[in-house]
Amino acid sequence: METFSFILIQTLNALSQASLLFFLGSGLALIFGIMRVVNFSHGALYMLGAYIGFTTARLTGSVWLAMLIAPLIVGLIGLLFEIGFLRHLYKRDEDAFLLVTFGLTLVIAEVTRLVWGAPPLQVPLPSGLDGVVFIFDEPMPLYRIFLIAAGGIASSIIWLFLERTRLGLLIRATSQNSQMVHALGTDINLIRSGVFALGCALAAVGGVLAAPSVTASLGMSSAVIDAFVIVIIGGMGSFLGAIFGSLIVACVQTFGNFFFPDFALVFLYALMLGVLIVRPGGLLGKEA
Amino acid sequence: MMRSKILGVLALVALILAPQYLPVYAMTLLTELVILALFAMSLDLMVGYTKLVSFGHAGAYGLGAYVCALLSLHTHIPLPFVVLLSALIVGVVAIGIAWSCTMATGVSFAMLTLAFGQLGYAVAIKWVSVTGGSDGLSGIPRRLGPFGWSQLTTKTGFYLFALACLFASYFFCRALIRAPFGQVLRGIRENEMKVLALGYNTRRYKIAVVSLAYLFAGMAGALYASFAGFANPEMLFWTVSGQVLIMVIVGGKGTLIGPMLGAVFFIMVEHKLSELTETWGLFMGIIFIGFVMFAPDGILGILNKKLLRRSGQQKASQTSDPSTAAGGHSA
Amino acid sequence: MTTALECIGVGRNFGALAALAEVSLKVELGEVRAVIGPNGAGKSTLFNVIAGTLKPSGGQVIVNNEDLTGMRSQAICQKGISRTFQLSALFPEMSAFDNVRLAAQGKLTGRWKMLGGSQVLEQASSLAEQAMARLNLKEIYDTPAGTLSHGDQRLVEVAMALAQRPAILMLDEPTQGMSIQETHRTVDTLKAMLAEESLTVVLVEHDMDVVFSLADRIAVLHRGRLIADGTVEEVKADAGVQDAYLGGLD
Repeated sequence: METFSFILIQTLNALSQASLLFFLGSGLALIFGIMRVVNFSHGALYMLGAYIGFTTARLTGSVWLAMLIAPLIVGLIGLLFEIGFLRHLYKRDEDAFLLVTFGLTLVIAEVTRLVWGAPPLQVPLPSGLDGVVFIFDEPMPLYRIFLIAAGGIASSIIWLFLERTRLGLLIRATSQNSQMVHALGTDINLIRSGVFALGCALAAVGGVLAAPSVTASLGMSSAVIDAFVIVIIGGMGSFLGAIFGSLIVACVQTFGNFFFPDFALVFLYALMLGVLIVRPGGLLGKEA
Repeated sequence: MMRSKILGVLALVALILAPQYLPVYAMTLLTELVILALFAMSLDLMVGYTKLVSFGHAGAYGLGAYVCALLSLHTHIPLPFVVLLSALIVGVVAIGIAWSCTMATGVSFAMLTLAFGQLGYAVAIKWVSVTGGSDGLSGIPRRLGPFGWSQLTTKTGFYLFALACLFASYFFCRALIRAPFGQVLRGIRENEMKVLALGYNTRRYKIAVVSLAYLFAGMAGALYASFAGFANPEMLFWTVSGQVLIMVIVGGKGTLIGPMLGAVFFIMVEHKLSELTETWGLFMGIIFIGFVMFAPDGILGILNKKLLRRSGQQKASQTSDPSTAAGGHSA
Repeated sequence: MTTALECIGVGRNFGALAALAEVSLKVELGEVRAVIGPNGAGKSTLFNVIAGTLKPSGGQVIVNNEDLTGMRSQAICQKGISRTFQLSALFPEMSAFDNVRLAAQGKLTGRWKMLGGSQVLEQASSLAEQAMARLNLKEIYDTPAGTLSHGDQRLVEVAMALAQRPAILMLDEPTQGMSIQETHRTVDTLKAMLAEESLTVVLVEHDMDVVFSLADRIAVLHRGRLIADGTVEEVKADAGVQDAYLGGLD
């Protein structure tokens, strides 16, 4: 009975972690799917989501509202970046894009530090979710259950959107053959910018959801590595793959953390290496 | 050609004579510059000559610092040997890292370098018994010798030693670039697939150049640890990797000298601006983005263009007209 | 005559599509072998399988009595096969001469040398000079390869392959995209080159005039299969070939 409860608890922990990772990774996967370039500032936008969420919660008194507003703001910021800078870089080699988005990361990190200061900031749990639920006499924060639900619902909605709606079809088509879609009369730029903004907003959702658990801190921008690992495992540009990747990374982190608390990072990177060796295009990937 | 040679000799002489004329605080700054110039140049081998973008170069730098710290604290090996040994150790460790990272190309390669860098950071923080945890290691001595010499451990002596390391490394890298090995790197930079088709095992060349780049970065880290007297985990953090990348790109990649200028630029901006405003880091990031987008050849590139224009030495572009070149026998 | 290259039952599938099936042919030492066929016949696929860019799904590739099936392009190059690419793959910012020199260096021992190695560089330079002289490319020594005219680029491609002193020279549509003038010039140059030096050449071409000018024997592919194999006259007269090119194309 004890092993069962242990496995259940840890699985629930892993699932809630997977939810957070899903928001982080799916954004990157969508962006890569459309643009074939990796947005290095993805982790910084995740972080920005957390910080903006903090301030919104402070100002409005409602963390729920913060969860709604922060992604919108970050999505808008991402949109402006894309229109202002990134759009001009697609024609240049992928290194230029990587370097510019890296520069963006530095800029965002600095701005964050200037506005909010260096010490981590505590975001309170949203009202109504600060309780604890008992599973087999073990306390499980209600918030984590909420995260699992949020992740499950969001991934289903987005998947349905991509698979069953016309716009979703356009997006999927663009990621496979943008020229054809353009030839058929759709404005590619609109789709690209839209998906980019959506990807950034998703990262921000991840950030603002994560903030109550992990506190908003400057170290969050290195989350781009986690996002990248997810996308690599799941296959560059595959949305389903991002879900799959999030689950795997979350399990590695959760169970690894329990058994070998200091080595969780090593496992993660070893996993990334392993996947890159076996399948340079990821497990569900489209492209090496 | 002659112009740059003369400039080079003048710079060399100026740097050697500097301790005679500059006040102490300026010498401290200059020493730091020399070390960072070495750090930046090492990255140029990867980024500028082989088009291998790395976000984890601070890992090599920090590793060199820690190895140097441990050697200096626990043994009596003389300073110069400690620095060389640290560089060598980092180079050997780098072979394994390079082997792993070169499994992938492009973005994946860059991400792997970042991962290893962050891994180094995490190890530095967690392995408290060896690395001193988040406090790092301090009180690093400069060991006397060899032969009991104390000259190298003084401020001036150390500066000259660091300068010697920079020069030696520079000349090594320059020879490397001009050797057959360097030609292959150039090819890899421009069209790796073709280089493979020409019979080269490109992976081996990449592993070699990454290991060398890490070796020289490790040397710089070891010098810094001896210079500052401490080593801490921040030296391995990705922001430091970002800073050295900025130095390379802003200074002018693919030139060895450019990144050194970039280091000077970066430190001067840091010192001047940080007195005026807290936001200098922000400006640095914006400047970096500006250079990537609008001046990819960096400061050195801009200087070169200006010099060429002024002396009127426009390189006449030799366009070949195919209809005349082949003579008249084409029907 | 000795056989320089032999394909035995070579096949290559892409999913359910058999791009190549049961292709067997021999290339004799010192001959110019053309491989022709309508679009989609599998010429490029065969070329890439021999050169090591693609792995065959079946069959063998034997070069100078050595089984090289499935080896990677880098290793196959070291075994003596040098190839050009259909879309010119040059080093755009390097001069034409440096392009060819790097190619020549690829087959030299000591090509990896980090310090010294000036001997290697000299050797490579002289090989490059020879190759470029053969192809009448002296005027463009210093021109950055990326700025060359299309025709010159194709010739630099050939020079690069030639500078490697290959046992077998593989040319993938060397006159592709060339004007009539450039094509004539290329054919004349290649003819002169072949006259001076006996080389084994495998040539994939679309332009029939080029094929008839240069080839000793021709292999005809259609839908992945070898449908004719023989001298220029034999192939010209072959009914199956006429059918494939003129009729029955669906």
